[in-house]
Amino acid sequence: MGIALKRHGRIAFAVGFGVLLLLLATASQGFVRDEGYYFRAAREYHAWFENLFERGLDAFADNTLTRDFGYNTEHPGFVKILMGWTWKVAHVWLGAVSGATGFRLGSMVLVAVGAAFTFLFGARLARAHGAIVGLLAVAFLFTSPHVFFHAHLAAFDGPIMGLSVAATYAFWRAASERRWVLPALVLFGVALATKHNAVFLWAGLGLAVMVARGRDWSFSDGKLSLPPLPIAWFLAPIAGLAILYVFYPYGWVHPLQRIGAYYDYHAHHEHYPVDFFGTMYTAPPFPWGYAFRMTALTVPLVTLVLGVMGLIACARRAREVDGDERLGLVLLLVSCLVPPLVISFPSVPIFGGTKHWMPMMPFFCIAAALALMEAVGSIRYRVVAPLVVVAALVMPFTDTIRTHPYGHTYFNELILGHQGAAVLGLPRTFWGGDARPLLVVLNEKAAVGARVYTHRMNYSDWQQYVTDGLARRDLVFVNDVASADWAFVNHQREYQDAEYAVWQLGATRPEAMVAFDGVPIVSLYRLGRAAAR
Amino acid sequence: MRTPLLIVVVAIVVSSTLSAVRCAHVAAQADFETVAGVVRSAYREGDLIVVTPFHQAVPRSLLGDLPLIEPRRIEPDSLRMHQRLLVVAVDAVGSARDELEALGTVEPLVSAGRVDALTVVVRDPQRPTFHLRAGLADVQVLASYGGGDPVHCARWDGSSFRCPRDSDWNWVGRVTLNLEDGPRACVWMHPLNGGRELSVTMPEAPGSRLLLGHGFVLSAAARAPVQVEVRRGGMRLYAGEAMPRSGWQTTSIALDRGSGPLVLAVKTNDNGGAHFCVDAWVLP
Repeated sequence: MGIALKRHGRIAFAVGFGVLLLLLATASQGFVRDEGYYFRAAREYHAWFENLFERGLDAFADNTLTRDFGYNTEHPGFVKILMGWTWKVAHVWLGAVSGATGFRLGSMVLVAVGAAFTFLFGARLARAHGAIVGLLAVAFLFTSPHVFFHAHLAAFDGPIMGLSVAATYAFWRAASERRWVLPALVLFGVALATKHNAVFLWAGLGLAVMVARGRDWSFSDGKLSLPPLPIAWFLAPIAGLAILYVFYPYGWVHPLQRIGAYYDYHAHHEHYPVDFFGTMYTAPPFPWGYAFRMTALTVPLVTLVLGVMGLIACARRAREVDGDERLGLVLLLVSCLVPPLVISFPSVPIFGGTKHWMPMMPFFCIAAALALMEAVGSIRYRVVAPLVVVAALVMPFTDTIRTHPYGHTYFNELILGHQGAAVLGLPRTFWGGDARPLLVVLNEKAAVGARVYTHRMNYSDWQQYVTDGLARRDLVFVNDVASADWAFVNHQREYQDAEYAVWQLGATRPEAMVAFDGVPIVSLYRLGRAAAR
Repeated sequence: MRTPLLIVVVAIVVSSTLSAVRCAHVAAQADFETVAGVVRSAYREGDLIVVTPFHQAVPRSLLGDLPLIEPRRIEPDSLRMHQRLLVVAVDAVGSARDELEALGTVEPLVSAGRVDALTVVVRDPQRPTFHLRAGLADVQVLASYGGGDPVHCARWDGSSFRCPRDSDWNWVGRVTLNLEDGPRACVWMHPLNGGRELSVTMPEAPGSRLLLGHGFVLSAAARAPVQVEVRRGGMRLYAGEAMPRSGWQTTSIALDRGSGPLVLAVKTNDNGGAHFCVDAWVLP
């Protein structure tokens, strides 16, 4: 066992490193709307480190912290600080990557860590099959087009997915091995310092232990006796808040007020419009089960079927086994179900497509891998089993390649992809990052000093395109379509007015567009003033 | 074969089959270009190019400079106002080709791969004798603010009339808005506050019926219904309520009473969020 675990450790490292290289090599996504904010935040936060020695103790004064960390305080600082450092090292010092990829690298590292722990979780849970389940789980995870897309971005959704599986694995180990308590606390703390939904991670871990040790529940003499919870679970909030505090410098001087305001912001988050089966939801109640239904339509069919089979098999097996294995199985089930369940309540904001419940995906893919290995285990001819395994990965792999770098627009075979989704009235895209390839057309055709309306792409994204040499420096960003020479239109039904405004201005024929199966994702229009030149 | 393995094999086969079906519904760019070239040559003034299904965008990128629509649902009344339709039908998910063909006599124009073009000579075309949006410059717009005669919203800036009060909202003009069923070229007619009446008086035009359409913008559903009224010579020809939900609704109104110009009036008890637009056609 010890040798196997050491071997798993080495494989996990290789998996993490391989995933990091893969993500770096394929980071051709456009800059999504929020990345612009995080690029800026990462730069501003990093300036604090650059000036640290020069400022001395003044660096810790409230006005300095507010100036350097007072932007984008609705998210903790850990990932943005990490992005700042990866940008500095990989882009500024080494010149190995573009500026944007430098920022994204920080996020990718955490996704890669998650990939390594996905392998470890799968390999440990499926001891009979060894490392193959872990490897298959990682393969299924990164052949899910939505996951593959978000795994690249300078945002928090990839990192929280990675840290969720890492913290859950460490917590599982910590339930029976003291040496894992500290890693579990650190990983949970880092997760809490990454995104607010780590709170649900802690709740899920507690729930999983209570369920896994359900046989220890008792009620006698009017007293309810609960199963013991691991020490790591009790210490997690303390360690978590301490680490959150460290990585939330904006709150160093006024922690209660400012960290409280951060959580309050998310407790009262505004509702964004969501297009779902032809209805535009702008306020609660949102449709029940939204996250489950979207998952059913956005995970490749083979992975979906295997994942559901795996969850059922895990639930059955959890009833038959005990101890460490039972806890692992229940952790997998709870970790898979809690994130979409939270989003599925009608009062919870459901903007942002599938990324908000993405922490479920490593566990779902482990379940898929388990189901696949169980299924092929019954094949009599040993040579056929690998062929079935490969065949199971072909369509997910093909669809991920096909939709890259627009994996967030993917819908699965059940509804015949983009066309079916358009007919059913499902969200076509979001986050405004699709226009990157059209910048080539813009650079080639726009007159010097042309004004560009970028629709859902924000100014910080535009600046980054210019900085990275992807958009010409002389082009001028404008907010008002009426004053523009060129206009991008992201085909989101809630923001489709922009295209009609362009039509009103006489431009009814797009100059170029990005489309899948003929369904437009983003269009570029040349407006009248530019056309007349 | 054990059940789990059977399920896995079935999933792989179904996935591959459905992916093949998906690919079979994707038209090639070259085919679009071939068809677009023929459609452009066949186009003549007054034709309308109709693309189906609505989500296919390549035809717009090739023919968008000509009158072209991609309707989410087929509205026969609206399409019958054209004598001839040039239909670009893509063999894709959600095609409404059959509904379009039912509007008249069909003649194939060109076929390339999964893209067909056909002409539909409309049966019983209904040329409007007056179209509100097209003839907007010829209407009169009145706002009743209470305590006196209605006042003219007279400031015509080439596409809209501005009312004297709260003119950021209370204007009447040509717009293309985002309604639940897609883009809608219509006339902005946001009701006044306090239940006051905003009306449009159309020039006299011969006709036996008025096709009236109205709807609320997708992103700003109203808080209260809007009362819509059509009058002629003091006689009420129609009174109805537009409920506060997104989507375009049409009503056919018989013009069998009264004489003189038609008046279209709107009012509401709560005009918050009432991003309302209308259009009207007088038909023979």
